[in-house]
Amino acid sequence: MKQKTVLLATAVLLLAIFATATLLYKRGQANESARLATTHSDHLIRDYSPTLGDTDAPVVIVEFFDPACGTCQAFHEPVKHLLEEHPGKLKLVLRYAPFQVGSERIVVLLEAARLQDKFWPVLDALMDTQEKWKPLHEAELELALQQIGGLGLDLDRLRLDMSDPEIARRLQQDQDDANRLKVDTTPEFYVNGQPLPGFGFNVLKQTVAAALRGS
Amino acid sequence: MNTSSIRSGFPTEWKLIFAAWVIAASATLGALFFGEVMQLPPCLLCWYQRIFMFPLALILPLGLAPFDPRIIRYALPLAVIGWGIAVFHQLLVAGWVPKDFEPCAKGVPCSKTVIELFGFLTIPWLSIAAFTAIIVLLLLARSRRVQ
Repeated sequence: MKQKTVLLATAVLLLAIFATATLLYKRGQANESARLATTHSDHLIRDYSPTLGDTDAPVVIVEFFDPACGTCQAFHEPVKHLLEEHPGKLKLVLRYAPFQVGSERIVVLLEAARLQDKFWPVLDALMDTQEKWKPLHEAELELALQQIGGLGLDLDRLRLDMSDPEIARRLQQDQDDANRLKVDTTPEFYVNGQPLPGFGFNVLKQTVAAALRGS
Repeated sequence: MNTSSIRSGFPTEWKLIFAAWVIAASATLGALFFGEVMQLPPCLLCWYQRIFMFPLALILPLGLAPFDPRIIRYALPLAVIGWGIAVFHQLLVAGWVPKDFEPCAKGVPCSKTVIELFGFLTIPWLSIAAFTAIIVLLLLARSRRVQ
């Protein structure tokens, strides 16, 4: 046997072990989050969470999201389109998982805007302009406030409402629930109480389609 | 180039360096598993150990086919420096190094134990074991060559 053959065979063997271990680990994790979603289903949806779509829709999508997360921004419009494609059939429930630096303040801003019934317009505006209020990968509240000028908000009231203890309580509850369900990346989706079998918009779309067929 | 140093077949030095490579490659893949699959963010000292371990996984096999024992000379400094960082890391975890010296202000603190296998095996210990084994194997290969 040649030296090169031994080296190549060993390299292939090591990589095969690595790939197998990765596969097993991912599978174990998927099972674990499915188990958590089942045993802690009461942590998945809170009655105070912002929702979009039909209240009594047969298929419920729960999204743990971070307004300062770039991937969440990329999912924002497609997910809204998905809801529009299936009127009356889908409901989106948003949960906060502000992992990025500074994004907790943005969540508080969104909740304060919600008190003026401007949650969705403000969220849309912030998603459109994310790079403007997130220089150097840190969310900055003052820059975010500059992006929501034309929406008819009472900005003085908004700033006052941002110190509302109820908002802080909800944010804490969402973070506790995310911890309990072991949500550690955003966006994390659950369709009818179960986590997605993989990541990506197409996986979400297929899982939703399957749930719609089953309903 | 001294072609007499290039030999075919599997002399003992070759096997010793080969064993060192298997360890370096396993340590590299293991570190990638912790970091990329288990998503454990590496602390600063872990990054420095990676800097000295990952190249070993690449340059050792280059010295094995065709066999060029001078690879020992190129690989040893990497292994020795990596070993030093791993020992420093373990001293930090054990609390022997004053906290003031801890270089990780933000991110993952190096003194935090994120993994413990079989109740005692932590990542810094695995790193010390791997670097030690690589150094010993390379030194053995070198001593055979000097004789």
